[in-house]
Amino acid sequence: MNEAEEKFGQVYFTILGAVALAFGAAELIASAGGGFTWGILDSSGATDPLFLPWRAIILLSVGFFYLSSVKDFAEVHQLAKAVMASIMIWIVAGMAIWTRIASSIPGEETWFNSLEGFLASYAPPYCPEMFLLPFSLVIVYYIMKEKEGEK
Amino acid sequence: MRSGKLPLKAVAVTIMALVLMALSTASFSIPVDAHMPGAKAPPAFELSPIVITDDGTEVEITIEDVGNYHNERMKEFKRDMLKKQNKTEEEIDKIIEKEFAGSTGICPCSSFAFRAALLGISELWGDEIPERADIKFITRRPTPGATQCLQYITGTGPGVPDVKSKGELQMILPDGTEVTDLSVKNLKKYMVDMNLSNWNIVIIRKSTGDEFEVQVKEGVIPEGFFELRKKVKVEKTATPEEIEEFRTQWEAVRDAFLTQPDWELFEGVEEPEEEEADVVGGAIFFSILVIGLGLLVVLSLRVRVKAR
Repeated sequence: MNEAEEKFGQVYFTILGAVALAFGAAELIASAGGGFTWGILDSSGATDPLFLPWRAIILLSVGFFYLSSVKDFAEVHQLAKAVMASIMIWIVAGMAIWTRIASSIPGEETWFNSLEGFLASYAPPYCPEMFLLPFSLVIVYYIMKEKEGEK
Repeated sequence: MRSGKLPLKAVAVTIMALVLMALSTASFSIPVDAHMPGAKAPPAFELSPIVITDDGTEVEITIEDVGNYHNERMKEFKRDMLKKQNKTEEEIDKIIEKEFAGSTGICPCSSFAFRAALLGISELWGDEIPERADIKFITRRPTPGATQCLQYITGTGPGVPDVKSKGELQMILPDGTEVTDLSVKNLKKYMVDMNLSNWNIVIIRKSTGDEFEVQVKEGVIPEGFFELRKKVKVEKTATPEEIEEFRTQWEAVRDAFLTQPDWELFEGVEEPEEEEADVVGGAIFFSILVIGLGLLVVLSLRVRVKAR
């Protein structure tokens, strides 16, 4: 990892960490107040209200991990923190995506959903982790760089 | 000759006995409503309860609670009436048992009042749970079913269980007459001529002064219902066909209040717009998901190939 890449990683994951922290705080407030849906962002916990406070704790942890990883970002232990934060996002977002896939196949009163119903089940709103998911994939680049460096 | 007559008699007696037995069994098996003998049981329905707080305690009032209360009050009224006719306790019990067999107390009036209260409370309090003492009803319907339903909710009726605080119930008929004695005996005087304007209840949130009027839509009550009711219930001049016709209409009105949505029953209630499924948004996300997964597979394959 060269200096420019390290600098970019530091800035990028500072922003991502701050965003994750903000989402976590919002989810924490939402879980205390019964949840909210704002545009395409869903913190209502409608599908699983008991998981909402856990999601908030996970997001706050993600934020802390990212932010604590930016100092000496090229160092492997620091990078591991960012990898850990990304994996946490992948697990929660993966669960959310899997829930959608599983519920999109059966129809309400039939064995299989209609095409319209199938596509509609992937419609917004989405949980914050799903928004963070694509941005968290940037860590894969740094993992590969680290691997190359080892060689 | 003798031996030929005896079996005939025996057959006739047996048939008579069988017919009598069948009739008596039928009278027990047909669900009979206290106010409309021979009425069929209502269809399956799902009505949420009215939830209020009474001095801090949450109380759930179901239509079944209201029906039972109405039933008990009507039995008491009947008992008092029969006592005045010098019937013995045994006779009274028998008559009441027969007349109220299978009755649920859920009649058009009690179900109308329940639905009106349910709607009014949700309109005025939204997601909040109203305090019983904060509820006021002004009813235009002088029937025992509607009145006792509202008495049960406000806790103002005799024998309503677990009442700590009371709401308010006022009866002002469409012509402006205020009825203060809400006993069944007194209400009978005002039940002679009724029309659609009597299917009206005003719900008031006392603490804010906000009110919501519930008026039954035209068409909910079948044509000729009021005339038939007068003939059957008041003048008692109806033919058996008219009684049967009224019974059918009575069941239809009751069933409508138990099963139909608010916007089909009451004036000024708009049908909620069905949210259109966001197929485009879903399709975009699904495409991104498929492309993302495809890239992931390609990437992992390339990594493997590179590793070899």
